[in-house]
Amino acid sequence: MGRGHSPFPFFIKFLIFNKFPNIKKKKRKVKDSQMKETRLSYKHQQWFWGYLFIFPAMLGFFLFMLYPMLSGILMSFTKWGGFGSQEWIGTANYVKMFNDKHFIVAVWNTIYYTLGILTIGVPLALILAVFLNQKFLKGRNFFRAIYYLPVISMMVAVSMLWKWLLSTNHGLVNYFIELIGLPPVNWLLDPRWAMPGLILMSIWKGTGFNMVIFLAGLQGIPQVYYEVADIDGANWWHKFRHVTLPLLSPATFFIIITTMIHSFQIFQQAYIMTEGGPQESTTTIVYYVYKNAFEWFHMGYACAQAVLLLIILILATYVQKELQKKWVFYE
Amino acid sequence: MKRKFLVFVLLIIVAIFLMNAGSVYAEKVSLMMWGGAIEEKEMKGYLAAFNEEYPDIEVEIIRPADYWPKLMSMMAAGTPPDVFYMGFPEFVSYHEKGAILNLQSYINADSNFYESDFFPGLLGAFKDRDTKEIFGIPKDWSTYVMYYNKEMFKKAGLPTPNEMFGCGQWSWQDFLDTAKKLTKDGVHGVALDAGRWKVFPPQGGANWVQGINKVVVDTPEFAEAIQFNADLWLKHNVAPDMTEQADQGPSDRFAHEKAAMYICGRWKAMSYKDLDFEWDIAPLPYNKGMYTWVDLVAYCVAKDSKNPDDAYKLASFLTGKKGQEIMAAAGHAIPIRRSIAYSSEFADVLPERGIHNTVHLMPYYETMLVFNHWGEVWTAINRALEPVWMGEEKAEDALQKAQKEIYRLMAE
Repeated sequence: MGRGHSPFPFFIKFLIFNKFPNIKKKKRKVKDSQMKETRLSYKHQQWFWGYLFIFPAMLGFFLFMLYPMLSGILMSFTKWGGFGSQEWIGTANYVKMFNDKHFIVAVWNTIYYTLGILTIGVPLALILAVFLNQKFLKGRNFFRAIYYLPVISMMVAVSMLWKWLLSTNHGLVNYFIELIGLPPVNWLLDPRWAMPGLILMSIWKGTGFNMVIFLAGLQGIPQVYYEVADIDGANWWHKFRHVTLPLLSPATFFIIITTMIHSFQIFQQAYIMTEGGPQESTTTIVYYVYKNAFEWFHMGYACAQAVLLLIILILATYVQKELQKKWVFYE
Repeated sequence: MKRKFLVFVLLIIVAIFLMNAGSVYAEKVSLMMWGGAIEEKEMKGYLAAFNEEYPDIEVEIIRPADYWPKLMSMMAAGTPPDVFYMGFPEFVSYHEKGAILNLQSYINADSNFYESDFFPGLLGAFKDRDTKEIFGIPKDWSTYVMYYNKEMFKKAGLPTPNEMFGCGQWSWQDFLDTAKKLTKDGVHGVALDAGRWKVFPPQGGANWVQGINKVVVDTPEFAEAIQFNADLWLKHNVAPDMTEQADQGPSDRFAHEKAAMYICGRWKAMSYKDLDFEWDIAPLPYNKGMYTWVDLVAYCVAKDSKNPDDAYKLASFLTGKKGQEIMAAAGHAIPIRRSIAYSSEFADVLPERGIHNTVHLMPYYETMLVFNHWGEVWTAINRALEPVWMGEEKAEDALQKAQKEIYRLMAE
């Protein structure tokens, strides 16, 4: 390689002088020591091009993901106001967290929200997908677009819209509730109903995304399985239960994991629609992190909470990954 | 051939960099502000006047969507804006962390500063507690006042709040009686946001901020003031309750003639300027004492500013006589210099409407309440008061809970 003679690192030299040698040429010029100096071995070329291609993505990952994550973990062991002096306090932030009843409330609220989305939103997305996959349905693409529309709408706009929809006296949601003869609900002002209100809104906003993934999964199921089931005399429920569901399980698994991670990070809805209230009923982990970090000057403490959120997510994902062996069926 | 091309590309890159550097201004200062597009447009007007005096200094306006997180992250990154808005409560934390430049030496060298021209209590909010050195120059302030619909008062045959205040009959009871008389046909006597309870406790005689680490809310006076506020809708039905407030904000209620009175700060006056009914402002009512809440904002210079001299020039121009005169004419807030605030420039901002603009200067503003853990303490009190506003809990009980939380915060 003769790197020692040149002031350039070898990859810069490569960038300027090398002319894509193929293996044949390389064999011919092995004896030519002048040329050899400027060339790279085949292995190094592979190495170089491979890393060159993933370099932009890696750069982004290291600079904007890994580095902030690691420094966040470091900061979680400090008492720090966001700027100014930092003081190393060991695990005091973590101890404080477990004695902070507001944080514990925030954790429960987040779990409540996530369970709500997983148990109502995901099955709903599946039902919609199955429905919109039926060939007999006219205007399927139109409905698919309609259900996907909220996904690409801005969360701020959607939150404002739902603030009106959930209004106690003039809201459309209460209008329908009263139509079926139930008493109106004080959605965003009643601690018992604020979180269900946010779940309702988030399902409306996010179900379209999961629906599209389910649709892709449904279209990946070979028709032959249904034909075989038909021959065996299966009805629609048997086909759904024993063909569709098992063959859709990889998509379901993906959706459950991503929806869970996404739901644990709920922030904007709580920030815009309820400001964490009433009486903390919609204060979620990330909302509490935001308050601590940017309004109360407890950046170190907020980092510790974020690290705990990371740990919760890793654990939950790990458990799911272990459980999948029991129910996810790969074709 | 290839090398020529490479050289050519390099030359273009260098040229682009040079173009960037070739600005007409010799110096550059960044100014970070909050507010909407209207405020930014006004700021550009002030800066045009600034550039007449200092043509060499280019001012770059930064107006982020999320002011405080942005300021904090710029500080943390070591690249703060040179000049930035600073509220009086936030000043305590930012000053404590050493993020703000001491302006005293600049002020001492500035023959146009005239410290005595400032409202003293307001300038004092940006002084160091011990050394009394100035760390920020207040730019403007707002007091809370009573907006009232003149036509509704006339129709009901009632004396206006200004007249009642003038003859010493504007106590809480007078205010409540007036509101009762004005509440009819779907119109409320008064509209107010639950979050604006802060105007009441000192009126009721509660001395609730007794020191930077001493906040006392579990007193009978404080509870009485809070209950007075809540009972306006819970008991007397003269104000919209919480669900009604959520449906239509108190400010809109006043603008749409659904409320005869409205308690809010000075800034509303400009958006109410074009309402098609006659309105005016009056002092807030009083009980055991007179009081109104003051919002106060200053220009501060970052300690890490690369260009502190020019930054000071900008801050002192905007708070100087000329800058304040232009600001007074725009009318968004009350000038910080007494010579301007008491001048006709300010009093005549809304001449066509006959607004008593000088009501803003009622002489009971000088109590700037500040304490540590500002944001958390407010959150604790507001959280405790939520059931009170809904009528589910008595103010007294809720405030005891809040007090416990405050003790815990202050002990940290």
